[in-house]
Amino acid sequence: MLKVCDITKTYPNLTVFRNINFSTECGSFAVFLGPSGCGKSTLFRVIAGIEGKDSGYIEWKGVKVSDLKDETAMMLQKDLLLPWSTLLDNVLIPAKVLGKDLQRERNKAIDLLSRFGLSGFEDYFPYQVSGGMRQRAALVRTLLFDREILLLDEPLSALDALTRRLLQKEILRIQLEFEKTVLMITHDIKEALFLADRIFLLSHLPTGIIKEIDMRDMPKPRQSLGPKFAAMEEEIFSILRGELVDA
Amino acid sequence: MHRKAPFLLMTSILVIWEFLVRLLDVPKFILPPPTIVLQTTLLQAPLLAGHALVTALEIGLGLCLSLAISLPLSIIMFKHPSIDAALTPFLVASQAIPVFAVAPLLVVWFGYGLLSKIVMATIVIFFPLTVSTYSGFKQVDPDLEIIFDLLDAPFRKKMKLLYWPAALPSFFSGLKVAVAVATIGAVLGEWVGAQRGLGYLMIQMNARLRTDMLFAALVWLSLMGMGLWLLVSRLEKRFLFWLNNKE
Repeated sequence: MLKVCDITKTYPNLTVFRNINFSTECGSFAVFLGPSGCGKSTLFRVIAGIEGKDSGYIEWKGVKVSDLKDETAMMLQKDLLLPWSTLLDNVLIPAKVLGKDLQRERNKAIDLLSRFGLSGFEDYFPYQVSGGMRQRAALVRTLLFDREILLLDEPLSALDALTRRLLQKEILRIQLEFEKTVLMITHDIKEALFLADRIFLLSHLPTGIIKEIDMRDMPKPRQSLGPKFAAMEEEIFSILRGELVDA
Repeated sequence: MHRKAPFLLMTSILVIWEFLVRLLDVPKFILPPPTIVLQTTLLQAPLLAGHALVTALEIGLGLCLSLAISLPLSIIMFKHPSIDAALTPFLVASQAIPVFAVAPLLVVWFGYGLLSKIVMATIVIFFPLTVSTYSGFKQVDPDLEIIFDLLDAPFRKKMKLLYWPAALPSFFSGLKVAVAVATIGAVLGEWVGAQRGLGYLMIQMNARLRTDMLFAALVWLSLMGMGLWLLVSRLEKRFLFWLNNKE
């Protein structure tokens, strides 16, 4: 299990979240939905150990830890590819920094790039490929961190609808194939319903979890969004609309 | 048309200059016409080239010395904010002192030879180089650092893979300013005390009212400045290929 226990984060004159708690199974897909500016990204940064917290702890596979820096890889809305490096060099950054066997990692990277439809583009620079391809390269780099937990902070929100749909499927495929524990932030309710094992609805500041929706009984991949999904989408929307109005 | 514009402007200025000097019968020692300057530049080319070589050497070595000081200094200032805070007032104060005031002192300390001129050029060059490189490091997109922070990348690797390439645009801006002012430093040094160099030649010719030679020396200085600027521009284009193509 991944448990986030009583975590509080404040800035001067601002409490982002107080005693936030949630848990999700290892190898599951948790999606966080909430109003803009409610502190979702800060929550992810705290979990990843990029930002400190005031109190609380995290439990990962029964072990209490301060953060999950050594267990997480992160992907943001921006692809964060280095513009001066080729796609291959970009995805090899984790290997270069961690001093891994570069030849072995290169082979692994080439294989993964090819699986994500980037075969033949290894030596291209980010400016030479489309947004969708850059985001796929960023996804490959995230995988090459070789970490068990993936924190995805609106990774698809800057993409067009078609590319977005394709990448949703790829993310799902990765999660199932590599048995990753995925935590993802999105503003797209349909995306959440398509991908999630658990959906956490967040309130506006100070952020708290106002509702948890267990989706594990709905088999994946979820091809069509039937009447049940439409009802869930409406329910989620009405809850979040209330939060937006309050915010 | 854009490429021809400087040439057309220069030709127009020279034609007007030639016409007015001849029309108003201005004495040669006050303002020689461009044709006389061109004639002197060509006829005295061996003499001018010998002096220009010395000035070029001073500028080149001054640039190398500045790079050797500026790059480590900007890295140290970036890594250690306390050193940055301690050094910045001195760096700014060093630029408030007119270089002319320092030049005689440098001749006393380092003699009439090359060294005092190299030090002079270094003093003029190192400030724009240090400041621009340092600002380049500071302007790195903080989001790009997330990737390296998650990997606990050591500063050395972050510098190699992230900070240095990201600071290159700023570094080259500083280098362009540096090469433009480098000639000023070397010539100032030669004015105060030298045995060779274009600055030395200008002082000598000024005393003999050989204004045409003075202008010829200026032509050589301008050509050297432009040559250096073009060289840096070429290097900039070569290394910053990704910048012009960035989305």
